[in-house]
Amino acid sequence: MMARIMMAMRGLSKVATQLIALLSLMLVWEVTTHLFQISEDKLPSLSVVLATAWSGRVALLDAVLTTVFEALIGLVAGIAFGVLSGIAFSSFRLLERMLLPYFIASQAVPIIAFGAIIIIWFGNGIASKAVIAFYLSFFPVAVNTLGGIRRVSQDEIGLLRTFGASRLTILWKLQLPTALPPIFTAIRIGAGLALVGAIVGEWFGASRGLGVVLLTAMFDNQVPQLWAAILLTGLTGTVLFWVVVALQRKIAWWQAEV
Amino acid sequence: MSSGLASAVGRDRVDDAVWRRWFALVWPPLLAAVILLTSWEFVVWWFKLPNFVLPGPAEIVATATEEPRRVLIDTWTTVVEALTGYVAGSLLGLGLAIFFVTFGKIERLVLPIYVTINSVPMVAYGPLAIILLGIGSASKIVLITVAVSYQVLINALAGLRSCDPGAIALLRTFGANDRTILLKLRVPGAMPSIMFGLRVAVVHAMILAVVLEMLGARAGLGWSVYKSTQMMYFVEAWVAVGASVIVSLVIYGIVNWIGRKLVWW
Amino acid sequence: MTPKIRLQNVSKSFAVGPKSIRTLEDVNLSLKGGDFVTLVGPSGCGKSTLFNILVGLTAPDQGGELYIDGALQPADHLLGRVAFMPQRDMLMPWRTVLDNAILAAEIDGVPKAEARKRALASIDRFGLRGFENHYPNQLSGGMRQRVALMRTFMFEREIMLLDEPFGALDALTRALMQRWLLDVWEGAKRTVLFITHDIDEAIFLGDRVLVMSARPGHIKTELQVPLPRPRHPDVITSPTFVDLKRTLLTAVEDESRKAFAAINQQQLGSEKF
Repeated sequence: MMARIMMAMRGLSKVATQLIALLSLMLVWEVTTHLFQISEDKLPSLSVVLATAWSGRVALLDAVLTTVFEALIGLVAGIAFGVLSGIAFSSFRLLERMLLPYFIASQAVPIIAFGAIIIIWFGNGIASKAVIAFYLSFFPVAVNTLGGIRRVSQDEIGLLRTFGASRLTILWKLQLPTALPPIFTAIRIGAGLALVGAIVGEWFGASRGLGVVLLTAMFDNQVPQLWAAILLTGLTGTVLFWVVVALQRKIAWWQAEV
Repeated sequence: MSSGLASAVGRDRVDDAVWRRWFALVWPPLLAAVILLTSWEFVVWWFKLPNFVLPGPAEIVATATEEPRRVLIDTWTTVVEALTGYVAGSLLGLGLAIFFVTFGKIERLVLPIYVTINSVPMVAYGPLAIILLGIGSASKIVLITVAVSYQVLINALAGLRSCDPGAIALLRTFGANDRTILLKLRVPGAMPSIMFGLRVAVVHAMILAVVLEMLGARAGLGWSVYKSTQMMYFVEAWVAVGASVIVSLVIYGIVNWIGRKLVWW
Repeated sequence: MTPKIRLQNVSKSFAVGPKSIRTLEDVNLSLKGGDFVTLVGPSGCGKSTLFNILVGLTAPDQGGELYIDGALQPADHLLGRVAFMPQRDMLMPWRTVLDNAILAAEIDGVPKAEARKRALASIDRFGLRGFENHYPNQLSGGMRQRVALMRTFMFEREIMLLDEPFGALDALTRALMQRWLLDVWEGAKRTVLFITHDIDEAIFLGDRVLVMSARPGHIKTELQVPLPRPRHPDVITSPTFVDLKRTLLTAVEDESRKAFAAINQQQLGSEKF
């Protein structure tokens, strides 16, 4: 019987396997909590969590939208800055050698530790969270932009120059398009990081958002609510990821996603 | 990259060239560091910035030396949490990767579940871990282990799977069995990917340790930042921040160095 | 004399989607010990499949038989019986030249220290003196092929299969490598089957040249090469050589044209999806 199930699974696509895993995980969760009578303040059953989520859906939706908004602003700024830095580094070697190590170091540094200071500088509102999201997302984009532009060989550039192309034309028509697939890979990573940045930023001081919901639930020991927030966070992150993938399929379709 | 140059040149000239190359790599960021620190100090002095906005580097260092023991305890706590989770997670991730490659059927069942669990950002599990495991180091270490293992697992799997099928076929003609192929071909071939995963994971481990401490802890750099900010000892907060920066860079440097020793091609 | 290796009625079909493609049809060939036989054929004629069967990576279809030293070989016993050199060198970038050379022997069970000793003893033969501790990415194409060849020779088997080993090299390097290969072979006297696209190479190297037909592949022609050994470079312009070449060209050209037409058809057919 098991063997037949596995044979069937072999034919399914990756997404389908993932969905099946998700559903079976949910099933196992629901069954084991009831079966083993696990106390509600450790692991509430899935149905309780979903019920809690549903009853607080308005507030939760508001929280999700707030956090996503913060993350997106930071992400978009991070993409813009990352791409521009990448281009600048590719054109000016000295700039790269001076600043790139700092870009790298900036990521080994836990910005998160700066979080409290960011709040002092930027206040309790959306700006501070967006700043953290920006800080976390610009680096992968910069690195992949630089790497993507560098992937273009001298031969290809030489060819366009025989067509009389200017430096800007070469950048626009050759180097940037070549860099688009890796840039999108970086955006995928950056989106996840931006979301995390927004959430953690909210922990330092905020009135709305997923981070706030998580924190409040922790202090109030409201475990079902906490689980609801966890699930929502996971869902939000996944949706963001697939949105970026969809965008990539439209804009940089010529290379399969890595 | 070819280094055939080295074999063509005499001993003295090789050493000289290596030293010169190292210097050329190091002086720009070093110069930038000096410029950064001096202008930082200058800006604070010129604008007479109060220390709750931005203390100067000199003041930060001074405050750190006032109470070195506490800074060291905090640093030690965070480093232990991060490294314990890192080592445990790396071993777990690598073990799982090899296990999955050897037993493909189990991978198809278990991996999607693991992916689902990790589709939630690890920080979001923080509050839950605190409730279930308390504010001690355990809650941090558990989450760091899971996060690191996932990062390493995904990269290791990619590396182990990206093996050239032609190379596998060739080794079979030498009479190699699955185990030999795994040990002599797949694993070395996967090392670059594995090292990449390990490098990324160590950064995550430090960040996670610091962040999770801010939710609740008894000691540690993240907790120190949080506590200092609450009590308005802003310079202390900067000290903790500075310490976490330095420690992160050092650990990353070590992992990188180990990486270059393990993956020389 | 019993042939060293003999194929009889070997056929092979592959399922591609709903269709079945007959790659090899009734291949019969036989090699005596110490022979150096070359095999020419158009692209897609099944040369690689034939090699995969000889080496034990694939089994022939029902009815096909493979004999080594007169004994029938069950299909799953072949792996590890034949020294195989594929088209791409597949050197391991993390191993030095020396360690790459001993790879096959090492897997075969020869202790590393012993294998390294043996390798060092023949390092001059393969023109790699001074490069023992270099890494593959520091070597030229010709040198990488020599390392791969050394690895193949160090796998002590009486039968060697070489799949277009010099295909990726430029003409000048290739000429040098051919002469050098014959030199090494004269010293070792293994039974060699050598696949190539290059007719000059096929005649220059072989005692016999086999021509494979377009798909489904079988041995269409067999030509003796009565040129004396050791082969001198300027034998290429001798009348005998040119005669042989003329015969072979006609045989191969026919098959090439058929293969070309078949490939075009196949390409258009697959595009219909």
